[in-house]
Amino acid sequence: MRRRDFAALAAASTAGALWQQACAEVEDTGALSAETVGTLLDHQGPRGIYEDPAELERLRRAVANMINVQRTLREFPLDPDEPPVTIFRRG
Amino acid sequence: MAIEESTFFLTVSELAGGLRDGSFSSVELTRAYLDRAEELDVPPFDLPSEPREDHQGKLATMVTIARDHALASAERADRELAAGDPRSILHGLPYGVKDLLDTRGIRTTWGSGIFRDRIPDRNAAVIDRLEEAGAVMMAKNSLGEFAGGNTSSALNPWKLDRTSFGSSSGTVSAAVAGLIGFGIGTETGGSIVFPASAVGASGLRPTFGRVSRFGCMALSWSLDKIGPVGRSAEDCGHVLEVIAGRDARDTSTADRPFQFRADPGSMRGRRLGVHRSEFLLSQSETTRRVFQEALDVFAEMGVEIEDIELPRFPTGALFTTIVTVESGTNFRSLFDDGRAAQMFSFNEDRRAGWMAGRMLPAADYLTAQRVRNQLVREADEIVSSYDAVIAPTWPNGAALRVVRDGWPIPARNEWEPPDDVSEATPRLNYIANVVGHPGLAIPCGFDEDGLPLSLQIVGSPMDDQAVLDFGMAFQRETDWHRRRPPFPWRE
Repeated sequence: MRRRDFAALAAASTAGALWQQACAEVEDTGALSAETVGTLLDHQGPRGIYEDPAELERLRRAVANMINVQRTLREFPLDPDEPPVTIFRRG
Repeated sequence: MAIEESTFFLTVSELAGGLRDGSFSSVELTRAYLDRAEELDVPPFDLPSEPREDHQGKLATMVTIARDHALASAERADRELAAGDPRSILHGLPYGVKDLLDTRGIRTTWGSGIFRDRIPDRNAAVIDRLEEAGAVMMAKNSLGEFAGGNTSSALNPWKLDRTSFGSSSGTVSAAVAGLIGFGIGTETGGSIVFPASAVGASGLRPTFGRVSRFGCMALSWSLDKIGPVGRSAEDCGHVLEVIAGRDARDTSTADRPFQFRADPGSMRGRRLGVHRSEFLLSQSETTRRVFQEALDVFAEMGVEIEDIELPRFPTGALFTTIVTVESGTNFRSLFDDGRAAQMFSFNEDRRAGWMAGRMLPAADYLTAQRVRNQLVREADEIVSSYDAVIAPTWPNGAALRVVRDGWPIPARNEWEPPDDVSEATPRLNYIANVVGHPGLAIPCGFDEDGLPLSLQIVGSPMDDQAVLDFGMAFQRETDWHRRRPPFPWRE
Protein backbone atom coordinates (compact mmCIF):
# COMPACT_ATOMS: atom_id res chain seq x y z
CA MET A 1 0.00 0.00 0.00
CA ARG A 2 1.27 3.47 -0.80
CA ARG A 3 1.83 5.94 2.00
CA ARG A 4 -0.82 8.28 0.56
CA ASP A 5 -3.44 5.52 0.40
CA PHE A 6 -2.66 4.45 3.93
CA ALA A 7 -3.00 8.03 5.17
CA ALA A 8 -6.41 8.35 3.50
CA LEU A 9 -7.56 5.05 4.97
CA ALA A 10 -6.37 6.03 8.41
CA ALA A 11 -8.10 9.38 8.17
CA ALA A 12 -11.39 7.77 7.17
CA SER A 13 -11.14 5.30 10.02
CA THR A 14 -10.35 8.09 12.42
CA ALA A 15 -13.27 10.18 11.16
CA GLY A 16 -15.61 7.27 11.73
CA ALA A 17 -14.26 6.75 15.22
CA LEU A 18 -14.60 10.47 15.92
CA TRP A 19 -18.24 10.41 14.89
CA GLN A 20 -18.89 7.48 17.23
CA GLN A 21 -17.14 9.41 19.98
CA ALA A 22 -19.41 12.38 19.27
CA CYS A 23 -22.48 10.14 19.42
CA ALA A 24 -21.35 8.78 22.77
CA GLU A 25 -20.79 12.31 24.06
CA VAL A 26 -24.33 13.36 23.13
CA GLU A 27 -25.77 10.22 24.67
CA ASP A 28 -23.80 10.68 27.92
CA THR A 29 -24.07 14.43 28.36
CA GLY A 30 -26.96 15.48 26.13
CA ALA A 31 -24.70 17.92 24.33
CA LEU A 32 -21.67 18.13 22.10
CA SER A 33 -18.50 20.00 23.02
CA ALA A 34 -16.99 22.64 20.78
CA GLU A 35 -13.74 20.67 20.94
CA THR A 36 -15.33 17.55 19.47
CA VAL A 37 -17.04 19.55 16.74
CA GLY A 38 -13.76 21.27 15.97
CA THR A 39 -12.02 17.92 15.57
CA LEU A 40 -14.80 16.62 13.32
CA LEU A 41 -14.55 19.81 11.32
CA ASP A 42 -10.80 19.49 10.88
CA HIS A 43 -11.37 16.22 9.05
CA GLN A 44 -13.44 18.10 6.48
CA GLY A 45 -10.65 20.44 5.54
CA PRO A 46 -9.86 24.08 6.35
CA ARG A 47 -12.21 25.58 8.92
CA GLY A 48 -13.09 28.54 6.73
CA ILE A 49 -16.19 30.31 8.09
CA TYR A 50 -15.97 28.16 11.22
CA GLU A 51 -13.04 30.17 12.49
CA ASP A 52 -15.88 32.44 13.62
CA PRO A 53 -17.03 31.30 17.11
CA ALA A 54 -20.67 32.11 16.31
CA GLU A 55 -20.56 29.87 13.26
CA LEU A 56 -18.87 27.10 15.23
CA GLU A 57 -21.62 27.34 17.82
CA ARG A 58 -24.25 26.96 15.10
CA LEU A 59 -22.40 23.96 13.78
CA ARG A 60 -22.18 22.45 17.24
CA ARG A 61 -25.98 22.62 17.53
CA ALA A 62 -26.43 21.26 14.00
CA VAL A 63 -24.16 18.26 14.59
CA ALA A 64 -25.85 17.47 17.90
CA ASN A 65 -29.19 17.63 16.14
CA MET A 66 -27.91 15.35 13.38
CA ILE A 67 -26.74 12.82 15.94
CA ASN A 68 -30.18 12.79 17.55
CA VAL A 69 -31.81 12.42 14.14
CA GLN A 70 -29.61 9.43 13.39
CA ARG A 71 -30.54 7.77 16.66
CA THR A 72 -34.16 7.92 15.54
CA LEU A 73 -33.31 6.21 12.27
CA ARG A 74 -30.99 3.61 13.79
CA GLU A 75 -33.72 2.63 16.26
CA PHE A 76 -36.35 2.23 13.54
CA PRO A 77 -37.29 -1.44 13.13
CA LEU A 78 -36.00 -2.38 9.72
CA ASP A 79 -36.53 -5.62 7.88
CA PRO A 80 -33.03 -7.12 7.77
CA ASP A 81 -33.48 -7.78 4.04
CA GLU A 82 -34.36 -4.16 3.27
CA PRO A 83 -31.94 -2.66 0.74
CA PRO A 84 -31.26 1.07 0.46
CA VAL A 85 -32.77 3.25 -2.25
CA THR A 86 -29.47 3.94 -3.93
CA ILE A 87 -30.83 3.88 -7.44
CA PHE A 88 -34.05 5.80 -7.33
CA ARG A 89 -36.44 5.53 -10.24
CA ARG A 90 -40.17 5.83 -10.13
CA GLY A 91 -41.04 4.58 -13.58
CA MET B 1 -55.70 44.79 -29.91
CA ALA B 2 -56.04 45.97 -26.29
CA ILE B 3 -55.58 43.39 -23.58
CA GLU B 4 -58.25 43.52 -20.90
CA GLU B 5 -57.65 43.08 -17.20
CA SER B 6 -59.40 39.74 -17.30
CA THR B 7 -57.00 38.46 -19.97
CA PHE B 8 -54.15 38.28 -17.46
CA PHE B 9 -56.05 35.70 -15.45
CA LEU B 10 -57.10 33.38 -18.26
CA THR B 11 -56.12 29.73 -18.21
CA VAL B 12 -53.62 28.23 -20.65
CA SER B 13 -56.31 26.91 -22.97
CA GLU B 14 -58.18 30.24 -22.89
CA LEU B 15 -54.99 32.16 -23.68
CA ALA B 16 -54.21 29.72 -26.48
CA GLY B 17 -57.75 30.23 -27.79
CA GLY B 18 -57.24 34.00 -27.76
CA LEU B 19 -54.09 33.63 -29.85
CA ARG B 20 -55.82 31.23 -32.21
CA ASP B 21 -58.89 33.41 -32.84
CA GLY B 22 -56.87 36.57 -33.18
CA SER B 23 -58.12 38.28 -30.02
CA PHE B 24 -54.50 39.18 -29.42
CA SER B 25 -51.08 38.29 -30.74
CA SER B 26 -48.26 36.76 -28.75
CA VAL B 27 -46.38 40.05 -28.91
CA GLU B 28 -49.41 41.97 -27.61
CA LEU B 29 -49.98 39.44 -24.86
CA THR B 30 -46.33 39.26 -23.87
CA ARG B 31 -45.90 43.02 -23.89
CA ALA B 32 -48.99 43.40 -21.74
CA TYR B 33 -47.71 40.89 -19.16
CA LEU B 34 -44.29 42.55 -19.19
CA ASP B 35 -45.78 46.03 -18.70
CA ARG B 36 -47.98 44.74 -15.91
CA ALA B 37 -45.01 43.06 -14.21
CA GLU B 38 -42.89 46.18 -14.44
CA GLU B 39 -45.70 48.25 -12.97
CA LEU B 40 -46.79 45.95 -10.15
CA ASP B 41 -43.85 43.75 -9.35
CA VAL B 42 -40.50 45.56 -9.34
CA PRO B 43 -39.55 46.47 -5.75
CA PRO B 44 -37.34 49.43 -4.72
CA PHE B 45 -34.44 47.06 -4.02
CA ASP B 46 -32.32 44.70 -6.05
CA LEU B 47 -33.14 41.05 -6.28
CA PRO B 48 -32.10 38.48 -5.26
CA SER B 49 -32.27 39.71 -1.71
CA GLU B 50 -32.99 38.74 1.81
CA PRO B 51 -36.67 39.04 2.63
CA ARG B 52 -37.41 42.71 3.14
CA GLU B 53 -40.19 44.91 4.51
CA ASP B 54 -39.85 47.87 2.14
CA HIS B 55 -41.60 46.54 -0.94
CA GLN B 56 -43.78 49.65 -1.26
CA GLY B 57 -46.60 47.43 -2.40
CA LYS B 58 -44.68 45.65 -5.14
CA LEU B 59 -44.88 41.87 -5.17
CA ALA B 60 -41.21 41.14 -5.96
CA THR B 61 -42.00 37.85 -7.68
CA MET B 62 -39.36 38.32 -10.42
CA VAL B 63 -35.59 38.40 -9.99
CA THR B 64 -35.13 39.16 -13.67
CA ILE B 65 -37.65 40.34 -16.24
CA ALA B 66 -36.32 39.22 -19.63
CA ARG B 67 -38.10 41.77 -21.78
CA ASP B 68 -35.98 41.67 -24.93
CA HIS B 69 -35.78 37.89 -24.91
CA ALA B 70 -39.51 37.57 -24.37
CA LEU B 71 -40.49 39.94 -27.15
CA ALA B 72 -38.12 38.26 -29.62
CA SER B 73 -39.63 34.88 -28.73
CA ALA B 74 -43.13 36.31 -29.06
CA GLU B 75 -42.36 37.73 -32.51
CA ARG B 76 -41.12 34.31 -33.62
CA ALA B 77 -44.23 32.71 -32.16
CA ASP B 78 -46.51 35.09 -34.05
CA ARG B 79 -44.76 34.33 -37.34
CA GLU B 80 -45.15 30.60 -36.81
CA LEU B 81 -48.74 30.84 -35.64
CA ALA B 82 -49.58 33.02 -38.67
CA ALA B 83 -48.10 30.31 -40.89
CA GLY B 84 -50.57 27.90 -39.33
CA ASP B 85 -47.89 25.91 -37.60
CA PRO B 86 -48.65 25.75 -33.87
CA ARG B 87 -46.03 23.80 -31.96
CA SER B 88 -48.19 23.14 -28.92
CA ILE B 89 -50.98 24.66 -26.86
CA LEU B 90 -48.27 26.70 -25.12
CA HIS B 91 -47.13 28.32 -28.36
CA GLY B 92 -46.89 32.07 -27.83
CA LEU B 93 -47.77 31.98 -24.12
CA PRO B 94 -45.51 33.93 -21.75
CA TYR B 95 -44.30 32.07 -18.66
CA GLY B 96 -42.13 32.59 -15.61
CA VAL B 97 -39.61 30.08 -14.31
CA LYS B 98 -38.17 29.73 -10.83
CA ASP B 99 -34.66 31.16 -10.85
CA LEU B 100 -33.12 27.76 -10.24
CA LEU B 101 -33.27 26.66 -13.87
CA ASP B 102 -30.52 27.77 -16.23
CA THR B 103 -31.50 30.08 -19.06
CA ARG B 104 -28.86 30.70 -21.68
CA GLY B 105 -27.55 34.26 -21.54
CA ILE B 106 -30.02 35.29 -18.84
CA ARG B 107 -28.83 35.39 -15.27
CA THR B 108 -29.75 32.52 -12.99
CA THR B 109 -29.05 33.37 -9.39
CA TRP B 110 -30.45 30.43 -7.39
CA GLY B 111 -31.98 33.16 -5.23
CA SER B 112 -28.58 34.00 -3.77
CA GLY B 113 -26.51 37.14 -3.77
CA ILE B 114 -23.49 34.87 -4.23
CA PHE B 115 -24.67 34.16 -7.78
CA ARG B 116 -26.16 37.58 -8.47
CA ASP B 117 -24.22 37.84 -11.73
CA ARG B 118 -24.19 34.18 -12.75
CA ILE B 119 -25.04 33.89 -16.42
CA PRO B 120 -25.26 30.31 -17.71
CA ASP B 121 -24.31 29.38 -21.25
CA ARG B 122 -26.92 26.68 -21.51
CA ASN B 123 -30.64 26.09 -21.04
CA ALA B 124 -32.04 23.65 -18.55
CA ALA B 125 -33.79 20.73 -20.23
CA VAL B 126 -37.20 22.10 -19.23
CA ILE B 127 -36.40 25.47 -20.82
CA ASP B 128 -35.38 23.76 -24.05
CA ARG B 129 -38.61 21.75 -24.10
CA LEU B 130 -40.72 24.85 -23.50
CA GLU B 131 -38.82 26.72 -26.20
CA GLU B 132 -39.36 23.82 -28.60
CA ALA B 133 -43.06 24.05 -27.74
CA GLY B 134 -43.08 27.74 -28.62
CA ALA B 135 -43.61 29.11 -25.13
CA VAL B 136 -42.22 32.58 -24.32
CA MET B 137 -39.91 32.82 -21.30
CA MET B 138 -40.50 36.27 -19.80
CA ALA B 139 -39.18 36.16 -16.23
CA LYS B 140 -37.03 34.38 -13.67
CA ASN B 141 -39.12 34.10 -10.55
CA SER B 142 -37.89 34.82 -7.06
CA LEU B 143 -37.40 32.07 -4.52
CA GLY B 144 -35.88 31.29 -1.18
CA GLU B 145 -32.10 31.26 -1.42
CA PHE B 146 -30.93 27.86 -2.65
CA ALA B 147 -34.54 26.69 -2.70
CA GLY B 148 -34.89 27.12 1.02
CA GLY B 149 -38.33 27.14 2.62
CA ASN B 150 -40.18 30.27 3.52
CA THR B 151 -37.49 32.82 2.88
CA SER B 152 -38.37 34.52 -0.37
CA SER B 153 -38.85 38.22 -0.97
CA ALA B 154 -42.05 37.52 -2.95
CA LEU B 155 -45.24 38.74 -1.29
CA ASN B 156 -48.63 37.08 -1.05
CA PRO B 157 -51.06 39.04 -3.27
CA TRP B 158 -54.04 38.07 -1.07
CA LYS B 159 -52.59 39.95 1.88
CA LEU B 160 -49.17 41.51 1.84
CA ASP B 161 -48.38 40.75 5.48
CA ARG B 162 -48.89 37.01 4.95
CA THR B 163 -46.31 34.51 3.83
CA SER B 164 -46.27 33.12 0.32
CA PHE B 165 -44.37 30.16 1.80
CA GLY B 166 -41.61 28.73 -0.39
CA SER B 167 -39.49 28.12 -2.02
CA SER B 168 -41.40 28.58 -5.34
CA SER B 169 -43.05 31.68 -3.89
CA GLY B 170 -42.31 34.01 -6.80
CA THR B 171 -43.72 31.59 -9.34
CA VAL B 172 -47.01 30.98 -7.54
CA SER B 173 -47.57 34.63 -6.57
CA ALA B 174 -46.90 35.74 -10.13
CA ALA B 175 -49.40 33.21 -11.48
CA VAL B 176 -52.18 34.19 -9.08
CA ALA B 177 -51.57 37.93 -9.51
CA GLY B 178 -51.89 37.60 -13.28
CA LEU B 179 -48.27 38.50 -14.04
CA ILE B 180 -47.47 35.38 -16.11
CA GLY B 181 -49.42 32.95 -18.29
CA PHE B 182 -48.13 29.95 -16.34
CA GLY B 183 -45.06 29.08 -14.30
CA ILE B 184 -42.42 26.50 -13.50
CA GLY B 185 -41.50 25.68 -9.91
CA THR B 186 -39.50 23.02 -8.13
CA GLU B 187 -40.13 20.89 -5.08
CA THR B 188 -37.92 18.90 -2.75
CA GLY B 189 -40.17 18.68 0.32
CA GLY B 190 -43.12 20.96 -0.45
CA SER B 191 -41.80 23.89 -2.43
CA ILE B 192 -44.48 23.85 -5.14
CA VAL B 193 -47.53 22.74 -3.16
CA PHE B 194 -46.96 24.78 0.00
CA PRO B 195 -46.61 28.15 -1.75
CA ALA B 196 -49.43 27.17 -4.11
CA SER B 197 -51.55 26.61 -1.00
CA ALA B 198 -50.63 30.00 0.46
CA VAL B 199 -51.75 31.95 -2.60
CA GLY B 200 -54.48 29.76 -4.10
CA ALA B 201 -52.56 28.60 -7.16
CA SER B 202 -52.80 25.20 -8.79
CA GLY B 203 -49.40 23.55 -8.52
CA LEU B 204 -48.27 20.08 -9.53
CA ARG B 205 -45.39 18.13 -8.09
CA PRO B 206 -44.99 15.40 -10.74
CA THR B 207 -43.87 11.87 -10.02
CA PHE B 208 -40.16 11.80 -9.23
CA GLY B 209 -38.46 11.07 -12.52
CA ARG B 210 -41.16 12.54 -14.79
CA VAL B 211 -39.26 15.71 -15.58
CA SER B 212 -35.55 16.17 -16.25
CA ARG B 213 -33.63 18.21 -13.68
CA PHE B 214 -30.73 18.79 -16.05
CA GLY B 215 -29.68 22.41 -15.79
CA CYS B 216 -31.54 23.01 -12.53
CA MET B 217 -29.69 23.63 -9.29
CA ALA B 218 -29.63 20.42 -7.30
CA LEU B 219 -30.72 20.71 -3.70
CA SER B 220 -31.18 16.98 -3.22
CA TRP B 221 -30.59 14.61 -6.11
CA SER B 222 -32.96 11.95 -4.84
CA LEU B 223 -35.77 14.32 -3.84
CA ASP B 224 -35.88 17.22 -6.34
CA LYS B 225 -38.74 17.51 -8.84
CA ILE B 226 -39.65 20.25 -11.33
CA GLY B 227 -43.32 20.96 -11.93
CA PRO B 228 -45.88 23.36 -13.40
CA VAL B 229 -47.82 26.11 -11.66
CA GLY B 230 -50.93 27.69 -13.10
CA ARG B 231 -54.36 29.07 -12.46
CA SER B 232 -55.97 25.68 -12.98
CA ALA B 233 -55.24 21.99 -12.78
CA GLU B 234 -55.72 21.79 -16.53
CA ASP B 235 -52.95 24.37 -16.95
CA CYS B 236 -50.64 22.06 -15.04
CA GLY B 237 -51.54 19.12 -17.25
CA HIS B 238 -50.83 20.97 -20.48
CA VAL B 239 -47.46 22.14 -19.19
CA LEU B 240 -46.48 18.74 -17.82
CA GLU B 241 -47.11 17.16 -21.20
CA VAL B 242 -44.52 19.49 -22.71
CA ILE B 243 -41.84 19.25 -20.04
CA ALA B 244 -42.04 15.55 -19.14
CA GLY B 245 -39.95 12.78 -20.66
CA ARG B 246 -36.75 10.85 -20.62
CA ASP B 247 -33.47 12.75 -20.65
CA ALA B 248 -30.19 10.88 -20.70
CA ARG B 249 -28.57 13.79 -18.87
CA ASP B 250 -30.77 13.09 -15.84
CA THR B 251 -30.59 9.39 -15.09
CA SER B 252 -33.56 9.60 -12.73
CA THR B 253 -35.92 10.26 -15.61
CA ALA B 254 -38.23 7.50 -16.73
CA ASP B 255 -38.83 6.56 -20.33
CA ARG B 256 -42.53 7.30 -19.89
CA PRO B 257 -43.87 10.21 -21.97
CA PHE B 258 -46.89 11.93 -20.50
CA GLN B 259 -49.89 12.33 -22.79
CA PHE B 260 -52.31 14.69 -21.08
CA ARG B 261 -56.05 14.15 -21.31
CA ALA B 262 -57.85 17.43 -20.58
CA ASP B 263 -61.22 15.81 -19.98
CA PRO B 264 -61.32 13.91 -16.69
CA GLY B 265 -64.49 12.12 -17.74
CA SER B 266 -66.90 10.80 -15.16
CA MET B 267 -65.62 10.57 -11.60
CA ARG B 268 -68.40 8.20 -10.54
CA GLY B 269 -66.99 5.13 -8.90
CA ARG B 270 -63.47 6.49 -8.53
CA ARG B 271 -61.95 5.86 -5.14
CA LEU B 272 -60.51 8.65 -3.01
CA GLY B 273 -58.65 7.94 0.19
CA VAL B 274 -59.00 10.72 2.77
CA HIS B 275 -56.22 11.15 5.30
CA ARG B 276 -58.71 12.31 7.93
CA SER B 277 -56.23 12.94 10.74
CA GLU B 278 -54.71 15.82 8.79
CA PHE B 279 -58.11 17.44 8.37
CA LEU B 280 -58.35 17.42 12.16
CA LEU B 281 -55.17 19.49 12.41
CA SER B 282 -57.16 22.55 11.40
CA GLN B 283 -58.19 24.15 14.67
CA SER B 284 -60.53 26.71 13.09
CA GLU B 285 -64.15 25.67 12.66
CA THR B 286 -64.32 27.76 9.49
CA THR B 287 -61.34 26.00 8.01
CA ARG B 288 -62.65 22.55 8.92
CA ARG B 289 -65.99 23.40 7.33
CA VAL B 290 -64.33 24.60 4.13
CA PHE B 291 -62.32 21.40 3.84
CA GLN B 292 -65.36 19.23 4.52
CA GLU B 293 -67.42 21.08 1.93
CA ALA B 294 -64.62 20.43 -0.57
CA LEU B 295 -64.75 16.70 0.19
CA ASP B 296 -68.53 16.86 -0.24
CA VAL B 297 -67.99 18.13 -3.80
CA PHE B 298 -66.20 14.88 -4.62
CA ALA B 299 -68.91 12.85 -2.92
CA GLU B 300 -71.60 14.60 -4.95
CA MET B 301 -69.74 13.57 -8.12
CA GLY B 302 -70.13 9.96 -7.11
CA VAL B 303 -66.56 9.52 -5.91
CA GLU B 304 -66.28 6.78 -3.30
CA ILE B 305 -64.64 8.28 -0.25
CA GLU B 306 -62.89 6.25 2.42
CA ASP B 307 -60.75 7.31 5.37
CA ILE B 308 -57.18 6.04 5.36
CA GLU B 309 -54.28 5.81 7.74
CA LEU B 310 -50.76 6.53 6.61
CA PRO B 311 -47.79 4.61 7.99
CA ARG B 312 -45.95 6.13 10.92
CA PHE B 313 -42.36 6.58 9.86
CA PRO B 314 -39.66 8.99 11.04
CA THR B 315 -40.27 11.03 7.91
CA GLY B 316 -38.76 14.22 9.32
CA ALA B 317 -35.55 12.38 10.22
CA LEU B 318 -35.46 10.79 6.75
CA PHE B 319 -35.93 14.09 5.02
CA THR B 320 -33.37 15.89 7.18
CA THR B 321 -30.74 13.21 6.61
CA ILE B 322 -31.20 12.89 2.88
CA VAL B 323 -31.37 16.62 2.16
CA THR B 324 -28.51 17.71 4.40
CA VAL B 325 -26.15 14.99 3.18
CA GLU B 326 -26.96 15.58 -0.48
CA SER B 327 -26.98 19.37 -0.18
CA GLY B 328 -23.85 19.39 1.93
CA THR B 329 -22.10 17.34 -0.72
CA ASN B 330 -23.38 19.43 -3.62
CA PHE B 331 -22.52 22.78 -2.02
CA ARG B 332 -19.12 21.71 -0.73
CA SER B 333 -17.29 24.25 -2.84
CA LEU B 334 -19.13 27.12 -1.12
CA PHE B 335 -17.49 26.10 2.15
CA ASP B 336 -14.12 25.31 0.63
CA ASP B 337 -13.75 28.71 -0.99
CA GLY B 338 -15.52 30.68 1.75
CA ARG B 339 -18.48 31.91 -0.30
CA ALA B 340 -20.81 30.23 2.17
CA ALA B 341 -20.21 33.23 4.43
CA GLN B 342 -22.16 35.37 1.94
CA MET B 343 -25.39 33.42 2.29
CA PHE B 344 -28.31 35.42 3.62
CA SER B 345 -28.50 35.60 7.39
CA PHE B 346 -31.66 33.52 7.72
CA ASN B 347 -29.78 30.58 6.12
CA GLU B 348 -27.11 30.38 8.80
CA ASP B 349 -28.60 27.37 10.59
CA ARG B 350 -29.38 25.68 7.29
CA ARG B 351 -25.77 26.16 6.23
CA ALA B 352 -24.59 24.56 9.45
CA GLY B 353 -26.92 21.64 8.75
CA TRP B 354 -25.23 21.09 5.38
CA MET B 355 -21.83 20.89 7.03
CA ALA B 356 -23.22 18.47 9.61
CA GLY B 357 -24.57 16.40 6.71
CA ARG B 358 -21.08 16.22 5.22
CA MET B 359 -19.76 14.79 8.46
CA LEU B 360 -22.33 12.00 8.60
CA PRO B 361 -20.87 8.52 8.09
CA ALA B 362 -21.98 6.82 4.90
CA ALA B 363 -23.49 3.97 6.90
CA ASP B 364 -26.00 6.37 8.46
CA TYR B 365 -26.97 7.78 5.08
CA LEU B 366 -27.53 4.22 3.82
CA THR B 367 -29.61 3.43 6.89
CA ALA B 368 -31.82 6.38 6.01
CA GLN B 369 -32.17 5.09 2.46
CA ARG B 370 -33.11 1.64 3.78
CA VAL B 371 -35.84 3.14 5.97
CA ARG B 372 -36.92 5.12 2.94
CA ASN B 373 -37.19 1.98 0.82
CA GLN B 374 -39.47 0.41 3.39
CA LEU B 375 -41.65 3.55 3.40
CA VAL B 376 -41.80 3.42 -0.40
CA ARG B 377 -43.23 -0.10 -0.29
CA GLU B 378 -45.76 0.65 2.43
CA ALA B 379 -46.88 3.97 0.97
CA ASP B 380 -47.19 2.51 -2.52
CA GLU B 381 -49.38 -0.27 -1.17
CA ILE B 382 -51.78 2.16 0.51
CA VAL B 383 -52.00 4.71 -2.29
CA SER B 384 -52.36 2.10 -5.03
CA SER B 385 -55.58 0.90 -3.36
CA TYR B 386 -57.21 4.15 -4.43
CA ASP B 387 -57.32 6.29 -7.53
CA ALA B 388 -55.91 9.08 -5.37
CA VAL B 389 -55.57 10.12 -1.75
CA ILE B 390 -56.18 13.57 -0.33
CA ALA B 391 -55.32 15.81 2.60
CA PRO B 392 -55.12 19.55 3.21
CA THR B 393 -51.98 20.89 1.58
CA TRP B 394 -51.54 22.93 4.74
CA PRO B 395 -53.91 22.81 7.72
CA ASN B 396 -54.59 26.55 7.66
CA GLY B 397 -54.36 29.67 5.55
CA ALA B 398 -51.07 31.53 5.20
CA ALA B 399 -49.60 32.74 8.48
CA LEU B 400 -47.96 36.09 9.11
CA ARG B 401 -44.90 36.69 7.04
CA VAL B 402 -42.46 38.12 9.54
CA VAL B 403 -41.82 37.18 13.10
CA ARG B 404 -38.97 37.08 15.53
CA ASP B 405 -35.71 38.85 14.82
CA GLY B 406 -36.97 39.92 11.43
CA TRP B 407 -36.67 36.38 10.08
CA PRO B 408 -39.40 35.63 7.58
CA ILE B 409 -40.45 32.50 9.35
CA PRO B 410 -44.24 32.41 9.53
CA ALA B 411 -45.72 33.12 12.91
CA ARG B 412 -47.80 30.38 14.35
CA ASN B 413 -51.27 31.67 13.90
CA GLU B 414 -53.74 30.77 16.54
CA TRP B 415 -55.13 28.05 14.34
CA GLU B 416 -51.89 26.09 14.07
CA PRO B 417 -51.99 22.70 15.78
CA PRO B 418 -49.82 22.26 18.88
CA ASP B 419 -46.40 20.82 18.15
CA ASP B 420 -47.06 17.50 19.87
CA VAL B 421 -50.24 16.95 17.88
CA SER B 422 -48.63 18.02 14.65
CA GLU B 423 -45.56 15.84 15.13
CA ALA B 424 -47.65 12.78 15.96
CA THR B 425 -49.62 13.05 12.73
CA PRO B 426 -48.15 11.57 9.57
CA ARG B 427 -48.21 14.16 6.82
CA LEU B 428 -49.20 13.06 3.35
CA ASN B 429 -47.02 15.71 1.73
CA TYR B 430 -43.78 14.64 3.37
CA ILE B 431 -44.42 10.97 2.74
CA ALA B 432 -45.32 11.66 -0.89
CA ASN B 433 -42.15 13.68 -1.41
CA VAL B 434 -39.89 11.07 0.17
CA VAL B 435 -41.40 8.23 -1.88
CA GLY B 436 -41.81 10.16 -5.13
CA HIS B 437 -45.59 10.29 -5.54
CA PRO B 438 -47.19 13.01 -7.67
CA GLY B 439 -49.24 15.65 -5.84
CA LEU B 440 -51.52 18.44 -7.05
CA ALA B 441 -52.40 21.39 -4.83
CA ILE B 442 -55.66 23.15 -5.69
CA PRO B 443 -57.52 25.98 -3.93
CA CYS B 444 -60.74 24.93 -2.20
CA GLY B 445 -61.96 27.97 -0.30
CA PHE B 446 -60.89 30.70 2.10
CA ASP B 447 -60.28 31.00 5.81
CA GLU B 448 -61.86 33.63 8.06
CA ASP B 449 -59.12 36.11 7.16
CA GLY B 450 -59.74 35.72 3.44
CA LEU B 451 -56.60 33.62 2.82
CA PRO B 452 -56.81 30.66 0.44
CA LEU B 453 -57.11 27.09 1.63
CA SER B 454 -55.85 24.19 -0.46
CA LEU B 455 -56.14 20.46 -0.87
CA GLN B 456 -53.35 18.18 -2.04
CA ILE B 457 -54.32 15.22 -4.21
CA VAL B 458 -51.67 12.50 -4.33
CA GLY B 459 -51.47 9.55 -6.68
CA SER B 460 -49.47 6.45 -7.41
CA PRO B 461 -46.13 6.78 -9.20
CA MET B 462 -46.56 7.77 -12.84
CA ASP B 463 -50.31 8.27 -12.36
CA ASP B 464 -50.06 12.05 -12.68
CA GLN B 465 -53.18 11.99 -14.88
CA ALA B 466 -55.25 10.64 -11.98
CA VAL B 467 -54.38 13.53 -9.67
CA LEU B 468 -55.06 15.95 -12.50
CA ASP B 469 -58.42 14.26 -13.15
CA PHE B 470 -59.50 14.83 -9.55
CA GLY B 471 -58.27 18.43 -9.70
CA MET B 472 -59.97 19.19 -13.01
CA ALA B 473 -63.21 17.55 -11.91
CA PHE B 474 -63.21 19.64 -8.71
CA GLN B 475 -62.58 22.80 -10.70
CA ARG B 476 -65.36 21.91 -13.10
CA GLU B 477 -67.78 22.08 -10.14
CA THR B 478 -66.27 25.02 -8.24
CA ASP B 479 -64.74 28.39 -9.01
CA TRP B 480 -62.16 28.82 -6.24
CA HIS B 481 -59.39 28.68 -8.83
CA ARG B 482 -61.02 31.61 -10.65
CA ARG B 483 -60.92 33.94 -7.67
CA ARG B 484 -58.46 36.81 -7.94
CA PRO B 485 -56.75 38.68 -5.16
CA PRO B 486 -58.51 42.04 -4.90
CA PHE B 487 -56.43 44.97 -6.15
CA PRO B 488 -55.10 47.17 -4.57
CA TRP B 489 -53.70 44.29 -2.60
CA ARG B 490 -54.69 44.21 1.05
CA GLU B 491 -52.06 45.28 3.52
